[in-house]
Amino acid sequence: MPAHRIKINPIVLAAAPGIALLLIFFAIPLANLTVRSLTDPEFGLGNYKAVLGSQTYLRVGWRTIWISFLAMSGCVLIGTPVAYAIAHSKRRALVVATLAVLGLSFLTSSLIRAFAWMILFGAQGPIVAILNAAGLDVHTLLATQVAVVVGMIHFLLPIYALTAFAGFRNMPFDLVVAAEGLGASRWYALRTVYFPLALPSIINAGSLVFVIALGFFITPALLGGPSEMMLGQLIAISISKFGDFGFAAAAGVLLMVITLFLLSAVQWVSKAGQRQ
Amino acid sequence: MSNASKDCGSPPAIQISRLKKCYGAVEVLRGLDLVIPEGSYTTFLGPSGSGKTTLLRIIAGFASVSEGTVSISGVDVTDRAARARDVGMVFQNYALFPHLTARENVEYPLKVRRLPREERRRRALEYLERVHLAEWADRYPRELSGGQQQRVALARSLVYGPKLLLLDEPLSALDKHLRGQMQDFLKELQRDLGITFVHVTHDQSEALALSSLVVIMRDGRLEQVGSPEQIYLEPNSRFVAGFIGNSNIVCCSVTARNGRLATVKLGDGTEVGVPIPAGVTERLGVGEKSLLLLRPEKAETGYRIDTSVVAMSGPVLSTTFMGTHYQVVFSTRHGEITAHLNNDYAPGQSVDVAWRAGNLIVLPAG
Repeated sequence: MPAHRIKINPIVLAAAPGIALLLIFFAIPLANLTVRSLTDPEFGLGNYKAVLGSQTYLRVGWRTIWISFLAMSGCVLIGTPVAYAIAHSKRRALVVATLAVLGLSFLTSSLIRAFAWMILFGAQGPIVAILNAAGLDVHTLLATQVAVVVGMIHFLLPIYALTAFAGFRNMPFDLVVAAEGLGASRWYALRTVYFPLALPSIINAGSLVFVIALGFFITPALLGGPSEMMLGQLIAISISKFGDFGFAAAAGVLLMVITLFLLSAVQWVSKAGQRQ
Repeated sequence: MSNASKDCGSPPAIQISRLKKCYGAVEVLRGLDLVIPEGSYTTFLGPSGSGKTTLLRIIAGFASVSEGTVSISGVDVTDRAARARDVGMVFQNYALFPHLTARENVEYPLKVRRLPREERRRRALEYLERVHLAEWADRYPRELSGGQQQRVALARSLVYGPKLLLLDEPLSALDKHLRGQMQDFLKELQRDLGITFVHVTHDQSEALALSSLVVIMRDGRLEQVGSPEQIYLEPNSRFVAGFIGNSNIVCCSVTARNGRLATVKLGDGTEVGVPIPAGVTERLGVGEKSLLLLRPEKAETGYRIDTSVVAMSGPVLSTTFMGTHYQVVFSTRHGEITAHLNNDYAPGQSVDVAWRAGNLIVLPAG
């Protein structure tokens, strides 16, 4: 009997360790988590009922989406012009400096950056001093939504700007030049030609920071109070304080479902927009 | 030479004075003076790196000048932004807006000018009709062929009625067959509209076929400016002669001059009287080394040897059938010579060919 020789595509072979890793460390734990959310402490939808049945927890869910949306919007508003500037500016020094600032803050630990904001927003901090000097009676900005959103924008902005920049770099800028040749002002050309074509890059980068924001934990934990709790904190507390793994697993699964739902909604809308 | 700023008549479409352009230390345009008459079809012809595209971009307002001025229709626009010049421009890659349909692309410049919706639509369709694309109005650029995209770009840059249309190598991305069609189309369009076209190309046959004025550029300078006939019949340098058509170039020296006629002596002692091109009269002195230009297509067989012809003979090296003629390369004591002949010759066969003195061109060697 002739020996069968099995041909294996070398690409598959090279990908095999990565696929194995994904299976062992992501797929199996995810399945495990889902099972646990349905079985711990007993089989059934009890954990989901606990999360979804409570006004408090529902409010945490909505707040998570709302704060993530605010943080993403801030990133889009501030980061889009920055990404545009570094993608198309002819001043190399400015481009390099901006990229360096973004890269460095990206590399700085989010914990350190959150602590820095705690000092800035705190009762002895400069922001409170300035607000007091302006005649506003404020004691501290810590444990407010403003602090959480600002801290999150600070964390997410480099990610947004660098991701959008990667997309903007490949934009056909000669189309803007052509539009100007046809009589358009720079601003009009950007609005009618550049922006519509750059929208997919903006949506991509925006979705990315939105998803990161949804599951983010450190910044809201340090800058927000209990009244500003987000889903990530809820999960952390139910494990570290109450040891309720089943409840935490259910909250985690719900967070993932919300994320997937919002992401596919965005994808669907932007695809429909492009088709139109 | 200067037909600039005569007091009577309308000003030239474009007037360029002492124009220089530097990128850092590199001088791309080295002091150009050029007048492009209203209603002409002008081509900028030159090899890559000659500065022809830079010159076009400067006229369009997409590049700034380092020195000198640019006037359009008598108005100095040197410091005016591209959008305020009211000039049409067709880009090499067409630069159509991919997210807009053909009609929306053509409407764009009208939208910029705040024309009412109905008027915009009507004019866009009128110009799409003009470029034979009315049925394709609602297609996106990616759904159109290269030639169709090209015509959308044309319609878009003409729809707002500019007095001047600039075309940057518009035919270079098209296949040969389509290029011929587009050439005819452009020429016809220019005649119909009566506006000035300035067309950048590196293809000499394109320049000859299209233009009423050819501007030959080399290393950031104007090498020669003239009608296609002048450029072809009276090149003023070896560069132009070599760039326009294929030429045989033979060394000779000028032995006598009589007005526009020079007597030149070839290496083998043959003497012949040839006309001097207008542009080189001053640079062609008696006794100086010069070049004799023999156009392959002007070669003749079955001639009588006398002082009115230059004869070349030798064994054939190769023959190529070109459709309308045979391209015969043969070896002579002046070097390899190419002639376009009506008959086929076998390699090694001897061939006798002559050029009438009137068809020869003499140029300074420098």
